[in-house]
Amino acid sequence: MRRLLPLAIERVVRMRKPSFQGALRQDFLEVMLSKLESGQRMDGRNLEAYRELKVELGVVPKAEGSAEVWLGQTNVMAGVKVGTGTPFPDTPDEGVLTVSLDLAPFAHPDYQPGPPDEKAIGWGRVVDRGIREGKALDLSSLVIEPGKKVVTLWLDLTLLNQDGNAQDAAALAALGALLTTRFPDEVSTVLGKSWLELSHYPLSVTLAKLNDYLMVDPTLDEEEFAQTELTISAIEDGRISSMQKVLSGPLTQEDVVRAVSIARHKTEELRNLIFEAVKRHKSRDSEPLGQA
Amino acid sequence: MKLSEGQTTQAREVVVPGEKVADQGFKPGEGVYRDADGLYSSLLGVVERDEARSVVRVRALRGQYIPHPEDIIIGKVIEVGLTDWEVDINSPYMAKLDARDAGVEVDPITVDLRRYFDVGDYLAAKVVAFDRVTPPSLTVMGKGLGKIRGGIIVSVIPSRVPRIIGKKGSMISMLDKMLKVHLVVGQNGYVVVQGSDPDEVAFAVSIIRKIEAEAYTYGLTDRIKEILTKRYENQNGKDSTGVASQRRRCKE
Amino acid sequence: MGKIAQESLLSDDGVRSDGRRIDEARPFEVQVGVLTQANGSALVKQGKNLILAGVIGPYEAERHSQYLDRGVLRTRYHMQPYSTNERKSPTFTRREIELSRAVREALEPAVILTDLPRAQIDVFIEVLQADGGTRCASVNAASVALADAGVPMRDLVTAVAIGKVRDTLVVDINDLEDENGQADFPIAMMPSKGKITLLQMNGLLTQEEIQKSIEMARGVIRSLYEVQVEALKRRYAPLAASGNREGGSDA
Repeated sequence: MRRLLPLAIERVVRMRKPSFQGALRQDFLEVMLSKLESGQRMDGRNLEAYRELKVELGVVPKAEGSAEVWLGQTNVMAGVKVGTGTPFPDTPDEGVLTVSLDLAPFAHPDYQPGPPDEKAIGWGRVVDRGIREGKALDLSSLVIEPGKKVVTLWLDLTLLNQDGNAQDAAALAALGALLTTRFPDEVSTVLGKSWLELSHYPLSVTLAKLNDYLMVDPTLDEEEFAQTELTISAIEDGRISSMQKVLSGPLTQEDVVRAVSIARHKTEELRNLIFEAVKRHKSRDSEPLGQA
Repeated sequence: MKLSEGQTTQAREVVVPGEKVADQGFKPGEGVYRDADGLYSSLLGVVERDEARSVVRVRALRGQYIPHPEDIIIGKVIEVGLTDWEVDINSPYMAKLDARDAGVEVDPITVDLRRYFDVGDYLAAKVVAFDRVTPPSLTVMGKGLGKIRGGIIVSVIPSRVPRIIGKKGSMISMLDKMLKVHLVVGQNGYVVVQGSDPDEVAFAVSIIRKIEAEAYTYGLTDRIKEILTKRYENQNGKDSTGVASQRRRCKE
Repeated sequence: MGKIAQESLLSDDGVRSDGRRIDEARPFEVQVGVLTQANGSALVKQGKNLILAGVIGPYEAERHSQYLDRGVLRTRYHMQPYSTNERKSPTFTRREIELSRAVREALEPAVILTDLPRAQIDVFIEVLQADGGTRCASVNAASVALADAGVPMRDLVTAVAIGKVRDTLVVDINDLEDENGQADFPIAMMPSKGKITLLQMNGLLTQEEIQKSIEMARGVIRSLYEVQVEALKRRYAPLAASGNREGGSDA
């Protein structure tokens, strides 16, 4: 064998120890970069392609809304519980929405059981802001008795299997669960509608930056090498509802502008997939539809 | 050792833990335990009965690599000690490579073992001994063993490695002959693919993936052979090594 | 919440609130190897229970928690906030700690830990939807996940809860029967060995009823066990037809 390709590991098995240590790290990077140069990624995708998306709605019937999403091998479950309670004192005329994200300890060998860590809270916050700032819910429509009794929504997300880009998978699951949330009787009789209605439909697109390359929907291996990651949430009219840069690498102005443009059309693609799944789900549902 | 190539049409017998695999007359091999009225499987696996020696064993279909003496494995150095290296061998147990088993004179004052193998280096090594209570010990003394200096490491499910090797090495020798890469197969589920043409390396990786995915299907060797033949037939214009014609002959 | 009348749990002609007969188990479904990061996994649907078990390991335990003669099994039973009618706080409750232990001790006799000195195996159970008998469904999921992880075992472990409604023993109780019945009697067995590995009981039962409960459990466990075995084999059985993909993490 004349010149050898640099040493690299094709599928990373992580067991207790980080895999990219010492000599290997640089070598893997070289392989990755040589592929990126020809517009390809380690799994054969181009830079702007998402992995296969699978959405299942209503998987947890005890929850008022639920969705399970597979983005490649990243698996997120979302459940919505609806109740009633007192509003926050500073927003007496608004319903209450609480979003949180939890990592199942089997989602990755490095994850430990316990309360949500920095990572889980970070991802949960990004989803939360995407929904809140994108005004997905008109919280003022969720009031039963102003200042006293409002609808409370709990959106709980669980990462069940981690293979990168948990953020977008979580945003997809969150939207799927909210779109299929049915009010319990005590709420529907007062509000006069049986389904939760959304005003806007936020979804996120995450891009990992490695040198000059922006990779959409990064896998775990790609995230391991990303210098920085940018998550952009957009609503259906193309406006951006939240952005979050993580990791310490820098971004240029051009990067941000390009990322925003990619995010706008990618969220639209993803949104259509969710809408189709919701339509299928609701047409299967025997109960009368609250909305089209 | 190797799973037999399926010539028969009858399915291999898959058992789950607790299933009876033989009567008292047999001796329990790997993956089998003795209970009051016979021998039972302790694993999810495939039954192998050695009628001649009256041994029955169950080959795991799932699970991690458990070291056996004489196995060739690919490991990664994760720690360098004064007289040995700690090596991750993709198993529940971390292995030790003693300096003597690397042909290094042990003198902690003058010899820095990092000069030989450093943290992050990959090794092809042979398992010397393992009793589960002490770490498995390795050696790199031997042909083809030692530091791996290049290539891509493909990680496959360890229980499917026998299929990459094939019955009496039939699969691996075919791959060696037909693929334009060099392969080092570790029993622990790591396969090193070395070659100078990224395209050939990528193709070899896809072939290994296919063998892994279809490990328990019949006629696998023939199907792989067909794919290889097809590729190199179409490519023979590019082939300058002169082995293409030879390959075409061995097709049929 | 006031208790429901026993008559509504069992009709005069022996039909239960969900339409089952007294000796009829709920629909039971097992899917094997549903996760890729865990070494083994199983999704169990038992009635309305939806339970995902994932196994991490065996891996070398930390030095201070190693045993030279055997491995260590850890379990964690956790309910998702959306798994119940009322949202459950995601923080770990005393009940979850108790059930984590009950599940571990139900599995331990089946796992050949002496084959895994110095090692540790973690079994994580996430209840995605809870119905009656979550601990039994959790045991059913966990034992399949352990087998899927290639962990050496003497047998699978299979569990079912026997209950008593309207002074009658019924098998595989649901939520309503669990909350309003006269007894809850979860039992786990190593089905091929016939040995009991989990036994708890709340309520009032006579000696005869206890004996009959165990007999009833044995019958149900046998049929649930067959589903577990079938699921494992279906996932990894050699496929006779060439070209068919065999599962695995690449599915």
